[in-house]
Amino acid sequence: MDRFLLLTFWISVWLACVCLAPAYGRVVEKPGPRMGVGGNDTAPVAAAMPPAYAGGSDNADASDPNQFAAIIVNGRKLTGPDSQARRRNGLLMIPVTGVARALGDVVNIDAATRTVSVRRSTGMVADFDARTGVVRENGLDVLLVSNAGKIIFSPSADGLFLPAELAAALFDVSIRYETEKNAVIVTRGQAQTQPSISRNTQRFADLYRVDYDFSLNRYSSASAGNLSLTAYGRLADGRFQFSSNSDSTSRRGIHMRRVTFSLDRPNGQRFTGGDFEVGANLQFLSASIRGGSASVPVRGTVITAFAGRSFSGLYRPVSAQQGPTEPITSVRGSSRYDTNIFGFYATTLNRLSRRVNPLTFSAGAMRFSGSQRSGDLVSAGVNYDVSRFSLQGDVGFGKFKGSRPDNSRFIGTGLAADVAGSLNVTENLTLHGRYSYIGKNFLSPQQGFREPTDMRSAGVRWSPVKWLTAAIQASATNRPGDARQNNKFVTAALTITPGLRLPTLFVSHTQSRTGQTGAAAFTLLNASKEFSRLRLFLNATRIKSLGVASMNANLSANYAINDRNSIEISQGMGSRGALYGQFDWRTSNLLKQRLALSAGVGYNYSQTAGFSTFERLSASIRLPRQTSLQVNYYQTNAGPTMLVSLKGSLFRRKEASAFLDSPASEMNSFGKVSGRVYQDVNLNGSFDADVDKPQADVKVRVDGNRYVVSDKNGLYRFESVIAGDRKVYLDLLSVRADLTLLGKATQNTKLQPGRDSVVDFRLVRTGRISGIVWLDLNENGKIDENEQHLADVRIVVGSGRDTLTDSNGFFVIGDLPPGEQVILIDEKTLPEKTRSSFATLSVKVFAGRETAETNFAVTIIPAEIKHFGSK
Amino acid sequence: MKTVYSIFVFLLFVPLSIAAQIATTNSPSNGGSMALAPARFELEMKPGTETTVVVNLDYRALGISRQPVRIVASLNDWNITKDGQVEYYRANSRPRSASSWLIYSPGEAAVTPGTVHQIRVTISVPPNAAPGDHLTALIIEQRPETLKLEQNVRQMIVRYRMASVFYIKVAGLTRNGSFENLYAASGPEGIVVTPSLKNDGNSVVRPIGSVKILDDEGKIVADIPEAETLPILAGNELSQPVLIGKVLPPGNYTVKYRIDFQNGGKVTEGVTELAVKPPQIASSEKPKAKP
Repeated sequence: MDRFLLLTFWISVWLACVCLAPAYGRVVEKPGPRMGVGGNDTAPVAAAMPPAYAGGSDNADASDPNQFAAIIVNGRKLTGPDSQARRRNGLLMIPVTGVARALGDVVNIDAATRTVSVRRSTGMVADFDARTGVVRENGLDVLLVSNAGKIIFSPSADGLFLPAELAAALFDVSIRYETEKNAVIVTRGQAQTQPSISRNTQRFADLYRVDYDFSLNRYSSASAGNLSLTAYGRLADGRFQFSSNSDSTSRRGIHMRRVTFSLDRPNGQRFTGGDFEVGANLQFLSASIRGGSASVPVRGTVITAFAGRSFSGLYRPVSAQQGPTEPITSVRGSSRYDTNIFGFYATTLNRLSRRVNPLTFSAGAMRFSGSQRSGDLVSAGVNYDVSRFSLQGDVGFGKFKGSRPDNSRFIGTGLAADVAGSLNVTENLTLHGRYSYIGKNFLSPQQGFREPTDMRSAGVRWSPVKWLTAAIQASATNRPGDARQNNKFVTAALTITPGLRLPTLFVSHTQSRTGQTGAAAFTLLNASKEFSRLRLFLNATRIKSLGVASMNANLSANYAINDRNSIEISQGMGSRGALYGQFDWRTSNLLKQRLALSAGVGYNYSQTAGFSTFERLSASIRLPRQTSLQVNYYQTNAGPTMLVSLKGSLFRRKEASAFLDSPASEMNSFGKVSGRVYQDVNLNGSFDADVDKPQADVKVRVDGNRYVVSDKNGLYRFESVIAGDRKVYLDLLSVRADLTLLGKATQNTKLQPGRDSVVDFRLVRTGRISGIVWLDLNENGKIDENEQHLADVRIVVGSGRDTLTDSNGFFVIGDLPPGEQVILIDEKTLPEKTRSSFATLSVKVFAGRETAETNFAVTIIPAEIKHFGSK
Repeated sequence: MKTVYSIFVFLLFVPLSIAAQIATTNSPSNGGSMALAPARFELEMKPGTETTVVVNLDYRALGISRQPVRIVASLNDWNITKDGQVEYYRANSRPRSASSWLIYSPGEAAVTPGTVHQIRVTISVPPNAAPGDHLTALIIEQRPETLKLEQNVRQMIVRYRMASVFYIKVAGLTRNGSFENLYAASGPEGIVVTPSLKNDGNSVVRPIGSVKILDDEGKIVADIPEAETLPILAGNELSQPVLIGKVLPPGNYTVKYRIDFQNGGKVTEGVTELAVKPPQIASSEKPKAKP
């Protein structure tokens, strides 16, 4: 194996390992339970714990109260003994007495009955019974926890620590952890939905996709295989592609033929190593190289430099033992990289910012030096492409030394030029022409690649109506330095496509005269006709060259039996009694469209070769992971042949498709949006794995119609979102009917390229309020038997929901988020000369519960009393 | 206190369009309409699973009626009787009711004309749910705004009542349709053919039926092409008369009723005889006295 090949191969293997190692060794960070919410500096408690306590073992308990720097209650840092949050068995423990004192609440702890009672500064009373695990608020259950029996009630009240979710319910506070301060933050009031968090998830190198293509050809006496591997991924800010191709034969074993590694950077730079071609824009600089190249954009121009070795076109024999009749002729030898080569060229960009430039120039120079030929040449090219006119012109000039095709050696200058153009005179008429000249002294690094020629060709294509196209083309070619090589061709073609009713016809006739064969003619007729299930084809040719003209005709019919099955039969005949025919059956859509089969038999007969038959069988199977398997089997007089082709993906990360498919300049402009949709059972504003309920099958959208559905863990993820200000919103219609969003359905996030923006959606169970509106005649505030219940009175909640009382004066307002709600009567709907006893009522709504007996007393507006004097 | 005149109240039960399988339930009225879509949900679910669907309420109003209306949602059980009538019952009062499996939101709303309002419905199938169809209906009713706001004017109130019916199909479905009887009779308006169909399975069948009437020579004299009949709910019977509006001359006919229950079984054809008698002509002659 060549040194260059070996070097580039091992570099590629090393790069692949670098890329692969982090992909498989990485621990994927997933949004875990968070005990608190905060800004960008907020982190999951477990992740942010000091290492000694991250495991949550009991021996860490209390012995090191400084594991959190502080506990801050309503902005005030707690001080004194037992005023630090702790971690026990993976739970964040809050000091009850200290927090209550800071909040202005009164707490009573009874270690004997294992109960805690809190009278909040708001007047609400909450209590916790560790025997049942229930937290009650004003007598109503608001939280039920398991394993409350494990809570330790110390003899001293100050020594009681409760898990954060219990403390949150007991004190009606939100509890969160701030990484920067290493502090636990306790705030009274409804917790807000967590704002989006941005984190960097991009690594230096990543492997995104590996595709393979393997083919194996098995003959009666030999076999040959070919394997291509292509990998795509990220390296720093660039996109790399690695491709390799190797083949094997039964006699020679495995042979690596080609390895290429290329890297595209967003600033337009491109680096290539291994086997590649140069000169895409300059045809006279084109060559196959094993080496390296670099392309750098400079002010509207891309400058490319390359160096390496090329092969002169001479093949090295494989071995003396190799048989002469191996069917795969292309692998009989390996190329010998015997020519040093280097060069550079510059090409103007055809796209400057958003403007497309129809005109591009290229110019460059190249030197090659080998045992058979060498040269120094310069080349220039121009390309102009607009809708009606296109032109491509190339010119090359150089000094060369080596062997001509006729093996005569020379030293001198050579010239080559090639100009081709096409003009659409009208929509129906197109003219095209080409002039190509390669001087007899002009050489390219590869032998046989640029043969001397002097060629002129022109043609016209005319389509007066949709169903008729006529074309004529003529060319004349001379070979400089060889007067015998004088070839002329004229071809006329007519295509008629009248539609479904009449057959489609294609007729062409070529008249030629060459220096070797003299005058010749070739005529082709092709006709086809489609019926509902039947298609008929006719192909006929007449070839007149040396000697008697030969003719050939073939008639085929294809019949679709049903959606799955079809048969095809054909019969042909030719000059000198030749006969041939075949029958094929094809079926598809088997195994849920994964399997297609075809089988056929046929025969050939000619006076010289006699009668022979052949059979063939093929199967095409679609496998998981974008894999397809194709098996073909042929049985001929020469023996059986088996062709197997397997192609698919070894590895593919779907989320990287935007990075791989986008232009290089845009490939790094994507970020990710992910998060969790959950029911905040304990209403602490963050997801607690043991308490809160993830919500599956909820639609989350980003900017318009693009949406994903949350999984069973409530997690959702958008890959490849263009960076910038993005709106992420939850489709409430896909959420359980008894849940609602506490905050806004739409959250704004500033997505940065290569980063992951985390947006959680917090849902809460709704509650409702019910009560009666009655006319309190005696104004005692109680519903007495003789007092009238008022129908059709409108009750309004501060959030905007409203309802009317029924004929019994009863009302229910549902779908209310938990928390304090202000409720009032629309007095316009009250009977005349009555009024509500209360301006407003403040009622607490509980998740999943009905707050009953919210009764409104309506009283009669007292008459105006006038006092008159005795006179 | 001033009197409020409610001239009349229409309580419109809009047919559930089960037979016609239309996609929406409409409530036409003077200058406006209200529609529910889909009018029917058929949800195949496994025990212990949950899904949320959306019922769209489209309210359109014209002219003076362009004002918001208040709607109230509720759940009812429902059934199709033997003679093809749709009946509603209190929620959870019927066997195989799915009313207790549904929650919905909002339960009450003020809907404005020209907009589509959406009602979320979550269906939670209990882990121990029996295989087969479980039925319920989401009823949308209009509730009058308070009359007190317009106490001095005469008011006419149009109230809608619409339904979106739910078939919750718990895995393990069976559809056993059977053709029990066929009866044909001639009347002044034509021929009435009454097939009696039965469904012993636990899931609804939607048969396709056709009728042919042949004379003595076997020639078709009247027919009704293939069309879907009313659905036959699990465990139900259906005997819905089919009228062929053609008066046949007196004679003997053969009536063939062909039905495909679409449950994978064979197509069944019921045959019965029909004798069309000449019409009785009134005679002015007195009947002769009996000897």
